Amino acid sequence: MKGLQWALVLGSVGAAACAGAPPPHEREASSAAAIRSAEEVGAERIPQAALHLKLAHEQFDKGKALMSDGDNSRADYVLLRAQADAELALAFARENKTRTDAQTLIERVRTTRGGQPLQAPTGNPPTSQNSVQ
Amino acid sequence: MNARLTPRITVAISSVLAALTGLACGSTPAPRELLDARSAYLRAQDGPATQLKPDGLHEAKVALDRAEKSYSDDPGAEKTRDLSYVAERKAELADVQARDAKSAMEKAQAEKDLAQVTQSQLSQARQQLSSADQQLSGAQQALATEHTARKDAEKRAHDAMDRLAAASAGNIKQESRGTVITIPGSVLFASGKTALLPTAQTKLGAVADALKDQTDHKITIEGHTDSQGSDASNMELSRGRAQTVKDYLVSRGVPADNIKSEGLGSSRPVADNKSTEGRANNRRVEIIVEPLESK
Repeated sequence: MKGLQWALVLGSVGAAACAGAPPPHEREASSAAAIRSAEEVGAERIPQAALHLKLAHEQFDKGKALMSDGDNSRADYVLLRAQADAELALAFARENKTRTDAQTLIERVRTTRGGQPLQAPTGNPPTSQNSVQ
Repeated sequence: MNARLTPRITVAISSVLAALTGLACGSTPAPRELLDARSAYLRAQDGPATQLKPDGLHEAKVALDRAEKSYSDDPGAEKTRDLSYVAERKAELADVQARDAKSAMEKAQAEKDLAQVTQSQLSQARQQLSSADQQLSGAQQALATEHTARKDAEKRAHDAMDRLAAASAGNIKQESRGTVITIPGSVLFASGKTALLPTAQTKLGAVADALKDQTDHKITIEGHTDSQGSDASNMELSRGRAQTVKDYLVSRGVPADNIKSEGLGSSRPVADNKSTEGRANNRRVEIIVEPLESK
């Protein structure tokens, strides 16, 4: 009898663990918002940004699929990956625009000065160091 | 070089140590995602993010620490790979955002430079315009002055011609060589003489008054005789009379540089030398006021 009681207690604890985390709707929403932001600034037109936007989309879809399967804990982390990639895509797109604007302005200054040399831009084009899975 | 290689060497050493520790303890080696995250963080730390995006770099560190803890707690967990992946992105994010900030500063400086250059060129253009205006104004003024001077000269010439007409009692005519005033020899000289008669001075005085304002005109005095007598004596007489008239006009204020005299003897008669009246007409002095040279 005592053994049966222990079995019931352990069973209920295991059941509680399996019931696990609730669906990560908040993470899903924040990931979706990050993807939209990257798309709005034209991330798909800039190669490095486009790569991370694509990864974000793939992982977002994977996260939703995991939620459908009830694996909410794993879905939360996959959606976190999606959000990180979307934020990086947005940053690449913004940096590209700022750098292009700066170079255009510097060229205008050089032209307006009549070919006189101007202080060269110190920014180098960013290079992606990330590994892609 | 050492400064740049240090993070890489550190990462390499960390990875080797981690692997050796894992082997020594018999535990799971760090996943590739965690190694990548560590490298990405060190690269970001070595880049402009330290100065320009320290908050982003801090977030990357927090994310990396979380991944490290997960690995420490449960080396084989899927969660460790996810958190490492996120930590790597956070490190890259800090680096890209720092580059963005750097580009923004360059852009702001270029805007400032452009404004200065534009302002400078505008000032230069205004200065050139002002200089051109002044030159134009000067040229217009010079033109107006010249126009006034020409008008004055024309008026003086007109007045002089009127006075000449009055002084020469109608013996004035316009020819291609200029305005020709003809004065009969009998009015100016006694027969065979080159000295002026007293009455001649009054008549020539009026002519001199009219001519002395004509500083722009060349004046020629020609002496003429009739055909009586030898050519040589006639030539000498006509030359002497022309010189006398010239000297008198100069003495009355006509500029000497503008006036010349010559004797032509009987070479250019204006009437028949056979009659008394014709010979009287041929004995004459002509004062030619040449037209203004066109400039």
